[in-house]
Amino acid sequence: MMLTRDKRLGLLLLQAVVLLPLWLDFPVGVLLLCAAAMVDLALVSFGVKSPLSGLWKVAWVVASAALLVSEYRSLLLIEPWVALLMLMFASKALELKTARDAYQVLHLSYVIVMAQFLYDQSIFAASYALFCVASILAVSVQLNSVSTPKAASLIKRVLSVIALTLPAFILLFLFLPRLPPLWAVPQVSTDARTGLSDRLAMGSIGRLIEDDSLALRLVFDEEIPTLAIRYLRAFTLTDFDGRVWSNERPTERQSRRMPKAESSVRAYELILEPSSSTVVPYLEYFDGTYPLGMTLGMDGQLRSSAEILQRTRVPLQYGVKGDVVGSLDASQYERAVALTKGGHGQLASWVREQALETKSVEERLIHIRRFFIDGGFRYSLTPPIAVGDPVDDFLFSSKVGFCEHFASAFAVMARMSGIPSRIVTGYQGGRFNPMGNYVEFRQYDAHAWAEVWIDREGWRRVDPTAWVSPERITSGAESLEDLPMFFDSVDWAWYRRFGSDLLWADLVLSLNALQHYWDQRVLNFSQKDQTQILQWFWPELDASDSVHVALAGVIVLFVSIALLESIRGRMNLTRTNALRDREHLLRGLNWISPIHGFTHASPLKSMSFPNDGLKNSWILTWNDLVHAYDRVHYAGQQDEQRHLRKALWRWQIRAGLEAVKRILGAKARSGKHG
Amino acid sequence: MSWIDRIQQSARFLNWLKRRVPPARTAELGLNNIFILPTPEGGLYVLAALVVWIAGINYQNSLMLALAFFMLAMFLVVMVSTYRNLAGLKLTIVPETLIEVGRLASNTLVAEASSDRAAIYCSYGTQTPTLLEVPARGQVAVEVPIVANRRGPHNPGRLKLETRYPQGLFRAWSLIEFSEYALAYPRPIEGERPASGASDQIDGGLRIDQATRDNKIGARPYQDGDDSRSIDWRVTARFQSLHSTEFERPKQQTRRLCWSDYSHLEFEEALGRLCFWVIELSRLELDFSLELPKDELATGHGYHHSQAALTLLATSELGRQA
Repeated sequence: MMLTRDKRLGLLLLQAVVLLPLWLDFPVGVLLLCAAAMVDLALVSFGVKSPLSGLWKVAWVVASAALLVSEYRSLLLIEPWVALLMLMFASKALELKTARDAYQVLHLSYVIVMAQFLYDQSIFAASYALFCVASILAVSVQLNSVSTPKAASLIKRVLSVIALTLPAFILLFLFLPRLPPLWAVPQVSTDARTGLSDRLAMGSIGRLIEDDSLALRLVFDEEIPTLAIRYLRAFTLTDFDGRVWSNERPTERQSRRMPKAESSVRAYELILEPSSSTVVPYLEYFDGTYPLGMTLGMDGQLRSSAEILQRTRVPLQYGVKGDVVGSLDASQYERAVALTKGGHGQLASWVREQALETKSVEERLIHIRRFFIDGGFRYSLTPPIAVGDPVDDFLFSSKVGFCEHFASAFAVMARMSGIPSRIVTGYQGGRFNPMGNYVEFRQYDAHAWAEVWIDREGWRRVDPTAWVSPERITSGAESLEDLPMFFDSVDWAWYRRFGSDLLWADLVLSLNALQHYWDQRVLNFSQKDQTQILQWFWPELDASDSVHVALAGVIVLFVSIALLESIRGRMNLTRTNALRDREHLLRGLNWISPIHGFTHASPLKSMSFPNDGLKNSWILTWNDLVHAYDRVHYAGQQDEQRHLRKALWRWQIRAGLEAVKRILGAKARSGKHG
Repeated sequence: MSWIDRIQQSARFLNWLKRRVPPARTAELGLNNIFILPTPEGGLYVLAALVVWIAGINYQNSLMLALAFFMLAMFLVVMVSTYRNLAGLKLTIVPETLIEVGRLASNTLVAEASSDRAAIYCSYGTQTPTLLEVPARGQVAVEVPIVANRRGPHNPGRLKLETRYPQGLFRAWSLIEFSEYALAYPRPIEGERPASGASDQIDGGLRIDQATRDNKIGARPYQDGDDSRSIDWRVTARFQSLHSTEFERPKQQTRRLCWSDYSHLEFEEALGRLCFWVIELSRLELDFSLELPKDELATGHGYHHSQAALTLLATSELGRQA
């Protein structure tokens, strides 16, 4: 069967629709080759001779192979495989002739839709995928239609299929078991975001300020900590080479601290977006219980055993600062006061001038704080480029910078004056979303601060940014005047300015809450959730029963569809009482004497019984019933209707028993012969 | 031939089917008489769903799993909707009363449905399928081709209605036997008519026919089969109903068609020759009579007369055929 032009164009449109989201993620060569194949099909459909005929097709295949080889050197990533799939899919456009080709396009379309989910799992991506599925359905209806279907009826049909699919789909999604990966698969390269890094150079957090992607969310059971104390620490950077802070020994383990009293500890859940790092940010202060598979380092870094390639839920606790256990050992002390030799000359002479060495640690800290507050520092996300020693330049010349400049300069000052110090990077502030009841942190909430070691107290947080620009800490990243104008932060600024009655702000909040709900309930739907749902219905069930529940659900669904169908069929048949009685009469007769095969059309009166051993009593009963039937339905004796109905039921039951007896008898006879 | 076809042609299946779906004048399609199985394309679709499912497991990607489950659920729904394309269809067959052996004829199938039905193909045996599409709350008549291989009541077997609509993943079909048959008359065999009476050469008949065309003797109410050219419009206008002109008929030109004239031939061939002349004389609107071993048709003419003659030819001595 050759495809008509309409069908070819429908399939072409479908190819474009399902490939669209992927084209953005792939090299332009893939796009061009796919487009070439599809343009060829479009031209052929309109009766133009195929530009890609014969050798050109071979050239197309060679070009595709060359592109794959040159573009992708490794097959360990998923990209070359998806690109191959896309090219194979597009190549069907070159050979789209028969219905078989068309079905291959339809089935491959589903696999392409699947590939979309490698790159985007947002609610929008899922909606688009649903649109793709609807398109596949529409094209397959068109393919199976003889005449071109009307758009309205096509849409109606597709929507009805989707609507009918939903109940069974929800059952399967909720209850079919979630299996662990069967084998290792090529990974997606662009899934994990960079976010914070384990090195801090001046300007590296400034880069994140431009990034409005989601970093993590916090879900609290009870009250939500105020914005000013929402410090999420991720990396601890102790080693400074004069320009860059880093952590040379990140893996030293720390023994567990003593847990705090129950009342001061609050539980929360951290929902971490994928990142290429193993460090898990957590809310200060931390009481020291963390999930299995994670380790808490000497430096206060919480690490997961593997890279966080998927959105991960981490149950954690925070509370008041824990008791100090131990003190800084010699090597740690060395690292925390180390300075580059001969660096920061201006700062060194300032420290000597102020004679900080002679003061107590607290006095020294107060002195440094005064220097920051009175020194004419300004917070800006676009500081001038440093000239010479970056610390000296910032402290004594430009005096313009943001969190990492302040934290870095402060830590160096502390070390100069003999106080062990280090840098902590993480996130600060975040936004509470009342609709989703969670606090979200985006990359532009990244922050850097310092810690100083105080004997008998331990590491104490010092945030010099708060001294210079307190609104950064108390109002969050949005409060900043010269924040770049990007979508999300601007909405938030409006929200703060105009209050919650602003429709747009509400819309953004709802969308974010929806995305949160989506991530929690759909993307991260796990066996645990499955068990919870099962036990909500039936407390004794556990996860191993879910497959039974799913199958039972689908079976129940379809049995009820079949029942409805049969009821509908009966109702459609406008059966009069006469017709029904007639059926009952004949059914009984067919049971007694199946060989006749009387049909509904057989006239009752003229029915003759061949002499095949039918008992006389049966014939008498039959004649009585036929007479009664005639009286009720043709002689107007309606009052006998009930008697007739009863008699007909008895007739059918007796006949049924007779049939059973006969079958059993036949079995027994054949058994004897055997 | 696929295994399904082989099963469907087995005697055991046909016997079972005869009990389950007995022949009737009309049929309503439903759970009782619709069969449904996935097509090879449906199998590939399930394979695609399986690929998506395994990818979803290996990438621990909830949306891929969701897509796989959606595909699976849709597969079941498509089964129902393919079934629904046939279910509830009320069918009545109006067989052609008389058909010629070996010549393509057709039964009229009248289909009725409460909702619209698309892309249903109906056929008898291996005949070319006819497309059946019914609009919502509509009634549609289509011609289903039949060919009779032998004389007598022609049972074309079960009418097969088949559909893959809407998605092509399932094939639903129904095998319906109707209790009304067409009657097949023998294939006409052209040949000289042996002279069995005086002055009844066919050429003469033709001439007489032409001559009497102008010889009107009156008008009579229109009958089925009357030549439309013979309608007497003046009388028709007067009586407000169709009337045909009645021509003078040469009564003595009666032709006797007798099987014994062909006794030198095989019986079936003789019937073919007779059949040729029945059709020919009917076309020329000439009177004729027919004599067969056990049946006899008195002299007459017109549509009903020729139908009666063909019916006799179709049913006469059926036992001899074998």
